Amino acid sequence: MATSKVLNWAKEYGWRHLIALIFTTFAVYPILFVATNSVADFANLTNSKLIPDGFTLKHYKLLSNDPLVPYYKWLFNTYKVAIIAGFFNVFLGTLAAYAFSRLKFKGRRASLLTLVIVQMFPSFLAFVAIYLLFFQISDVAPFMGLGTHIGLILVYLGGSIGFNSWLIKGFMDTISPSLDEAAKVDGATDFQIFRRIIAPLSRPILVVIFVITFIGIYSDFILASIFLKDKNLWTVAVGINTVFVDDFNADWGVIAASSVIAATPIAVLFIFFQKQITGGLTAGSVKG
Amino acid sequence: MIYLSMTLSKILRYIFLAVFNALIVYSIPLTLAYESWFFLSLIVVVGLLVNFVYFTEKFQPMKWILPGMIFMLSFVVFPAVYNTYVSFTNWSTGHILTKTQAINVLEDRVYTPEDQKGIEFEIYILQDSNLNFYYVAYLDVQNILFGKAVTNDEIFSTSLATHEPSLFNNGEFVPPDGFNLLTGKEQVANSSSLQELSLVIDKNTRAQLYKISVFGASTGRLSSTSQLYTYDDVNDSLVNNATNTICPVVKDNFECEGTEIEPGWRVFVGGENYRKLFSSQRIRGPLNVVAKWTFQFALLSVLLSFAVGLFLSMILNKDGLKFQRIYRAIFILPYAIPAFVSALVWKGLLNPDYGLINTWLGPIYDLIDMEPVKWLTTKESARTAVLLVNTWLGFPYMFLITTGALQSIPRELIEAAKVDGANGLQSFWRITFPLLMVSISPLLIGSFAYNFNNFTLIFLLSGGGPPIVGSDVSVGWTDILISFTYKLAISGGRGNLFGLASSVTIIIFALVLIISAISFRYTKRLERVYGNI
Amino acid sequence: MKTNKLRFIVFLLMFSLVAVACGGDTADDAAEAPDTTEAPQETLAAPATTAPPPEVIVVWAEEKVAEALNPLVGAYEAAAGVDVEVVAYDFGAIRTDVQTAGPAGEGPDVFLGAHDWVGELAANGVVSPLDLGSVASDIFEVGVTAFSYAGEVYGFPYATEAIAMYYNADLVDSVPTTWEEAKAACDAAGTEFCVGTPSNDAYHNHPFVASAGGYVFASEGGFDASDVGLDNAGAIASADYLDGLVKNGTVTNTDYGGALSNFQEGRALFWMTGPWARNDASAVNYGVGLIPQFDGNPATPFVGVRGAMVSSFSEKQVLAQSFILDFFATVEVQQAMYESDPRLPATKSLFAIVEAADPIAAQFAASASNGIPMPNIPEMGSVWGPMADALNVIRTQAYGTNEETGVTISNASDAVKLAAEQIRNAIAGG
Repeated sequence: MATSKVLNWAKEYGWRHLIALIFTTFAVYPILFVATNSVADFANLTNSKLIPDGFTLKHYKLLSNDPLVPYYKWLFNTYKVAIIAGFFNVFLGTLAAYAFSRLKFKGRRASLLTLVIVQMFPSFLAFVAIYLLFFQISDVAPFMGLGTHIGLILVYLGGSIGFNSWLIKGFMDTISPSLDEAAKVDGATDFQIFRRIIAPLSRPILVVIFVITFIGIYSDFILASIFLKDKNLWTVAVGINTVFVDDFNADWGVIAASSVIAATPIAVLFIFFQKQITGGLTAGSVKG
Repeated sequence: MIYLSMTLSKILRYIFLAVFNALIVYSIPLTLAYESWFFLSLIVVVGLLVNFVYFTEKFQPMKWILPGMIFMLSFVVFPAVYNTYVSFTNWSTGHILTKTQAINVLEDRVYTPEDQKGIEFEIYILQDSNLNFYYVAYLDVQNILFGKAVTNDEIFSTSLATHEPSLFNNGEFVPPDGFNLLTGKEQVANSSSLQELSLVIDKNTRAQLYKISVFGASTGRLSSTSQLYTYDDVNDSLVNNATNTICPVVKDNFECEGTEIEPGWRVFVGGENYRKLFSSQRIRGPLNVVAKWTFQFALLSVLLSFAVGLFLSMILNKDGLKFQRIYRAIFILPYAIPAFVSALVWKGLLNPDYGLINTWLGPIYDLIDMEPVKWLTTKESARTAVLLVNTWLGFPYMFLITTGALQSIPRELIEAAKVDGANGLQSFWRITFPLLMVSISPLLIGSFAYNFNNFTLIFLLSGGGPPIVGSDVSVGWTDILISFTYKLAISGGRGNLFGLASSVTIIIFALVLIISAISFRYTKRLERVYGNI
Repeated sequence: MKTNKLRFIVFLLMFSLVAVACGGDTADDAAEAPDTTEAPQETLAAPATTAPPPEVIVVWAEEKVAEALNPLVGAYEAAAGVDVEVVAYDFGAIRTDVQTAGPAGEGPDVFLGAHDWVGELAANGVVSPLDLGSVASDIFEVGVTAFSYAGEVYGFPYATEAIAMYYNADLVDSVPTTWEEAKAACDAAGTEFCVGTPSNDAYHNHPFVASAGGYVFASEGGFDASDVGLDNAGAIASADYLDGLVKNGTVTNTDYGGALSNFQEGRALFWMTGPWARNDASAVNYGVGLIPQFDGNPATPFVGVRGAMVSSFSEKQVLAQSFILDFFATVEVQQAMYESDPRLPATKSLFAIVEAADPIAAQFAASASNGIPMPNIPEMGSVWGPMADALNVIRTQAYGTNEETGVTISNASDAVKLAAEQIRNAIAGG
């Protein structure tokens, strides 16, 4: 009896664990290098040893104590910008997706395709153009010009509406139309249907998009470095790149430590976010 | 009562619109005053769109789409349009200014005849009661020159400086009566005016303030009374006053006796960049290899990372699986580490001589009696490595998306299939996968487009290498179109060729467009499978 | 419904007008703002006795330099009555942003950058000539040469940089003067690798092509793009020499990080790189010496020079020049900057101070004195790729016939010849 139980477990779960563990190694191994280097005396990411000689916390200390490196301010700025921009990104994408999923209109597919395709343009000089545009915005409306978080957030909002709305639309399409038809009979407006029914039911995909946008903004260096010239307004990516990366001479210990500090909350938050993605969907609320 | 019939949302909408319009109307004179043409056109377009969409009931769906679209217009479409414009110009090193700016830069130049070069002297700045500036230039004991400092317009009408030895007493400067000697600080405060002034020594020579010293006497230099270049707008040419030559415009530069004068300026060149792209052997030669690899790279990157991501999300999408959340968090970790850090780690792991990958593979090499792979140094090994690392970087994204999208697949359908006797694999291919593709396929196309232009990875990991020996330009086996473009742009003979590089991106976009159009046609069929569109 | 909507449009227009009218005053003020910002030019004719708002000098500098400079500018601000705004910038971004921001009227007055930008910046008309005057005599010649372009000098050099040879002082006493002796020293020490330096990098490998008479561009009185010397007899001899060093295992194929860890782990006896790596090298007990000679010719590294430049779009040319020459160039400031961000001095006076205190810096300086500045002309962009490719082929011994192009490279001299050809083509047909 016991063996068949084990066999059963292996058939249902065991192999999943095995594969998950194999890929865990694949995913984590290079990161271990980053982690061990963050506590190495002489950090060097192209080490031939996983465990370097000499344990030290000096890189973490530098990030927390050095008055010339306001790291926690940078971290705060990063979270601020990424959360606000991530939220509005999802919001704008959801609005558009609702129209594409629920409103019948001519050229619906064509306009959605246009949004997606335009987003694929490989602008070689995108940052020059954005830089020039924001010089002018800075003159007229300095509160959202260069050197401000608002301006940076606005730019991030332009980035991914096309893909986001397509993905959300695909999800919304699977929500049974009978739900909103019933609501319409009760006299609900489009906006009420959107707010009360469709948006809440799309939660899993919204959370996923938020996480993706958040991480994207988190690691962006190019746009952020165009915008933020005041050290106290920098994001982590700008600060680390500007202070610790030189042509040849990068301070890998500090960079590794920063990567660990930056990645940990993402992983921890994601553990809690998962309920939003996978839990809470009741059968029947989804088209069957 | 009309107003009572308005719903709250309508009132809010109109208030918002009123404020919005007020802001637009408020900003327009400002943009005019600052000559902010980009911004002006942007707010006019956005203003018109917003008013059109929210005032008329004509196009309901736009009310939902427009907010997102505005940002896309501003920060995606505008740069794309700008990029397209640049592709029709000669924008390159030596030609980044407008013609007016270039002429201003050239007209600001002064020149000093050979025999007066390097002469440095103390200069004292005085101000009379009418607030006119006077200079005293101590060239040497025989030449203690005093006179009114004048702007360029007055140089040829003013009286020449005179020798005034009485201004110095035992080597100490004594300001004449009625004049106030400016301290260094005062000179600094007036430096914007002072830099325009000269003390005219003779018909050809003037003294100018060169360095204000706040710690001692300031320094002056000699230069010719005429500027080096004068622009003649009647003949549209430049006159070199030092050699008295006329330098006509040749396309985008002034040319003095066959020598181009730097800087030149930007001009519209029509399709020249595109012509060059298709006619230059340097560019066309490697294009074939690079384009082919770009397709392979983008396609395989998407397939591999999607396969891994989907596989993992399927494996973990199982009720009652222990550590499910931990696994999921681990699988997004590679995404949370900055790419420039992980690319470097991979570079170290892949090092053929002491990297850990070859160390691990050592026993396998021994077993099958094979030479250790020289990662990143041969064509095949470099391409494999690039794909491997890109899979590592890309699968968390696919994993996340598919995990989210899987939630939309009705379990009832899968249960029903099971009842019909389908096993796990069959129900996956028959139900889960097609349904998933409905919402995922555009992302795969997007991911393809992204990898098509994945400059960062190539740049950080292989730098495009190893080199394709014998090509007309420096190009490597792992170079993709965009990194090849970059190499072309920075190695264009005389510095950067932005115009040419922009035209390549237009071509790349056209390619991506064609591929996407074909792919989307295919996905349309997918959507019909589900029948919701 | 129709009237309803009409009324609202009227209401809205009124609201808009009211809003505009209320904001009118500020709108007008702001609309005139550009005039007031340009106004100082006229108002400055005002008496010197009435205090106008202080002039602002905007300085862009890479972060470490900015941090070194920031505490020092206070003295100048007090003495000159100006505000000096030092902006900490990403180093590479200074080069690009000066060219975007300057013409748009938003650029710096003074910026600190590398000498090899000068050709591009001058050709683009975004940097002003800077006559060094009496300061010039205190600057090492290599610094002035580095900042010279088309007959003008474009910056005040404050630091130089060149590679030399680190050695593991626990295993060897000094760097031998010849490569044969270096190889013998490695064999004696029994280390796994001998000399580490990145393979795919024209900068680190420059001594291997230039020490016996090869050159990138002829440099008599300014670099001449029409004279490429990467395949002259000297260059070919050096390349063959390098080929021999690779074959006998003196120089190993590696990248920068690999060379670094090999040296740190004691697996390589020597490491050829620049003064920036001193902290990394200190993982072992290290010393620095000159790169071994090539057949009696001293090794010629590329010399990089950092300097202060004036933007041609600055409206305060004289003030910017004064800031550099009257303040930044003084020994006191240079020394204070050295103390918070040590780099090889470019001025003789500072070098005299530093030399005795820091013998390792002196070694790097000696190595730099044998070197030549990286060419600063824009054509240099066409050199890095082909030159790195050729050296990479030699360093990895990737000889053979290329399947794609059908071109055969059977030895080191083929490699450098091909590179020179690619460079000439690029310059001719750019």
